[in-house]
Amino acid sequence: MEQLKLAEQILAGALERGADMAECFVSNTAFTELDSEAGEIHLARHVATDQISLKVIVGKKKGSVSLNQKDDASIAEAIEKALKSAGDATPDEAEGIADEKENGRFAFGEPEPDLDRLYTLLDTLIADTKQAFPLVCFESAGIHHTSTRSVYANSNGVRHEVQNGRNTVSCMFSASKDGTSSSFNYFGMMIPDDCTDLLALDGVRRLLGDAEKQIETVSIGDGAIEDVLLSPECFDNMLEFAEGVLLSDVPLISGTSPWKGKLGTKVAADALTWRSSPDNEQLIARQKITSDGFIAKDHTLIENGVLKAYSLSRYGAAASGEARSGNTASMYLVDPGTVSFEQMIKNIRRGILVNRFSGGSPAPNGDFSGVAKNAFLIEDGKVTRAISETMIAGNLIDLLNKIEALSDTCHGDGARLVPWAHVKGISVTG
Amino acid sequence: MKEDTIILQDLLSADQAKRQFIGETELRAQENTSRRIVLNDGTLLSNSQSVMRGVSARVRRSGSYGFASDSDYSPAGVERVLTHATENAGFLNGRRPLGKNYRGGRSPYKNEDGLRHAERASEADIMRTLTELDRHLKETYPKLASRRVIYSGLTMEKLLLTSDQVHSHTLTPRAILAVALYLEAPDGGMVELYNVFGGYGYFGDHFFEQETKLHEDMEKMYRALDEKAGGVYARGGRHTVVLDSDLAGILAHEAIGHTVEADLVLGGSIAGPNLGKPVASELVTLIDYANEAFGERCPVPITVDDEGTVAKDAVLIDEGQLVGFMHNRETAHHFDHEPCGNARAYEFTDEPLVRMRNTCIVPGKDKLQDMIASVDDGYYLINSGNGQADTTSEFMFGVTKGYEIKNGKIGRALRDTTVSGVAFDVLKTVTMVSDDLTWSCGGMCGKKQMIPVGMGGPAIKCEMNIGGRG
Repeated sequence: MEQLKLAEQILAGALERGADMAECFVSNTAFTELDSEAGEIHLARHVATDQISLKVIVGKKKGSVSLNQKDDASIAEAIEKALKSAGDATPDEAEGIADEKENGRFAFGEPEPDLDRLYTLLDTLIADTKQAFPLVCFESAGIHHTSTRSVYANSNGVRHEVQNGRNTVSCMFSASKDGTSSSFNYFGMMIPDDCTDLLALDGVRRLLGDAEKQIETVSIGDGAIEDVLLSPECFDNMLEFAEGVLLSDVPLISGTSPWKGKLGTKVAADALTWRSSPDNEQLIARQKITSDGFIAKDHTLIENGVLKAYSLSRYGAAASGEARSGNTASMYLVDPGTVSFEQMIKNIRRGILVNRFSGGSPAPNGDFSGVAKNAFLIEDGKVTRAISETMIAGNLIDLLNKIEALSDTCHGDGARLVPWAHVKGISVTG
Repeated sequence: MKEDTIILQDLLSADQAKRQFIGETELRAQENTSRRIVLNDGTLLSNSQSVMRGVSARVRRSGSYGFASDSDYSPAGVERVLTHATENAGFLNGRRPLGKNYRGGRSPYKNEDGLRHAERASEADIMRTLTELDRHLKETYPKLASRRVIYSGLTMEKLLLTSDQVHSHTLTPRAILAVALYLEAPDGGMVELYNVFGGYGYFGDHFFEQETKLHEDMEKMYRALDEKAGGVYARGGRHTVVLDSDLAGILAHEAIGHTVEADLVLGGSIAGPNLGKPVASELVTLIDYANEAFGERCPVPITVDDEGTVAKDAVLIDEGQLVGFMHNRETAHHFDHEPCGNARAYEFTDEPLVRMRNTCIVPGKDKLQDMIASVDDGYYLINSGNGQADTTSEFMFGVTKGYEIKNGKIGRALRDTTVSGVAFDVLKTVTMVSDDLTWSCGGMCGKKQMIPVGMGGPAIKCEMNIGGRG
């Protein structure tokens, strides 16, 4: 209630001083962390911070400020800054604020950290990893609890309140032996409430085991490679790139997205059905309120290869002339395929398995290139040797059209669930 | 102009006579002020500013660290974070004491830097300059499919007091102007070129009343984009390349710098077993500069780091031999090295980590034109978009601007590509190093936290892998 009162007080101040419209987020976050370095838990960290974000619109011109001080003088100064900033801005007909009169109050997750439980989980992970994967070295391994209380209020009368808590673990690791190291890899996962063994989380044992197999690597050699098997983490990374370059606000407003105007048309292989689901029971993470003040709704981006929706905010929709999306949370659920992982391997005569893509954002046309990390050669239906210094290059649109198969199981970090993807059309060089 | 731009009053040392520090303690008050403006085809996508202020304490007892921060920077807030940090260190010691009571005290030291450096451009000046630049792009280059003008300003003010009486107050502004231009290529695809300008200082130091310089930069950018639109994909595989100085900076940072951060060395980096060994051609010397290099202020000057270590240059590779790592106090003790001030934190909520500052390959004696003329069949690579490192010293970085070299002459422009290699192998192939130097001033490095970094270097001729088609 105190936060809501503060948000309403800020809105009233902004409107009184000349704003036509205003929206305000007020949040308080408590972050608790236990962190280890080189296998020793050496840091206990607690961060408490307030955050206030105010956006004002005056004559279709916007100004935004963020601050973390709640005293009257700081808030009055912030309101003046936002209004002054809007005064200096250029007008934009697409500007506005959430206008759906659907208010929400949500509470989920563990609101308070259980430091003893977190310590035990992390300590056990480090000890069990030493036992099961003796060549693996954690450069860092941390466990965290984040608790957030936030309100959103705007001058259209929209009011939302969200309280949530979540536990997460993140590790960066490599394996080494006799002065030779594997590539580093990492995982970051949401921790289920009933978890007692972090090693048992989806994919963790596989990634740690692969690191040990990556100490000795070979070149891919000269033979042509047409088949690439992307791990769920790597395929997820490609989908994230695709959302950024093809589906999101800026490329659609600018018109640089090759998928502009392609709604309802075939843009990917039939096998791909890709949803963004911020409120799905299969995931641990939740997004209840969008960053622009709407109640988040699930939506389908691509269904059986047909483009169903973009990933657009209210502003992005207004500025591009398209429909606003139910969310922009990037919480992906990809429908599984029909082939087992084992069968996918058997189906490849000569190819590579890529666990991690090391590369930058793709070009506006979807072209990408980078290094295939933590990768393996597949020969005659078997994963044979770890490889290094292997570069892959292709185009995201081609990649999504050349999906040969998706695995019948999906994997993820608690915020996404994605299958293994067998794709063609990627250039592989060593 | 204000005479004094400091915001943070010293609440840390006010009551220090009464305060009994338990364990080794760092108290830090910090304010980060940021400004972001994005003009996309003339439309204002972002017009935001942010002020994040608070106080943190880190307490070290028997090798365990307790950290706490609070956005309430008041005498009560200072005491509260001290109490919570002490409790946090106590929690870990109650579980499994690490038993590392080895760090000695330091001599008291007082440091001030940058406190009287002020912005001379008003908010209206900034918005007008950006709007006029956008209008110039629209009117001068009508073939552009899209354009984006982005201003990012960040000023970090830090007050630090340690239990051994290091007292430091610094203010470090940075102003970055980024421009992205898009052009439709003859094949129907879209090509992009993205350049970053500015560096240490405020908007007014770099861009205000600099219209002619900005227009010259835009002309160069547009010409390069036009060439790129008609460009070709690189041929994949290993090639001789001349890396322009901008790319040498990212090579210094990604390929080598991360590998020799001591926390990554402890985590298994391949640099560990190579200390004292040759890892590069004798033409290569690599230094992480603290605050001045070649008689000028570095892009990210650090005088005292966030553990209170007085900053010095860290020599990492000396004429091809790996001679040092970058440290915080703890890793320096572990390796029995001297810390040079590489422990840095981004926000008041962050603990110091081992970070680079201004990592630079030292210029050599060659001329760029001679380096290009010496290549029969290879590539001249000029701008980078991003990069990543690895514990194996395998690196990659994106190349957004480059050209073929054929028979010693610049050929066709390249579409976006990526280069990679194993740094300790690639550096051994360096055969020429140019006599000039460029700092890349807009870098933000991500490693648990973001942090501004400077990267620099001369042009370098070497062998590396290029991702391409065909």
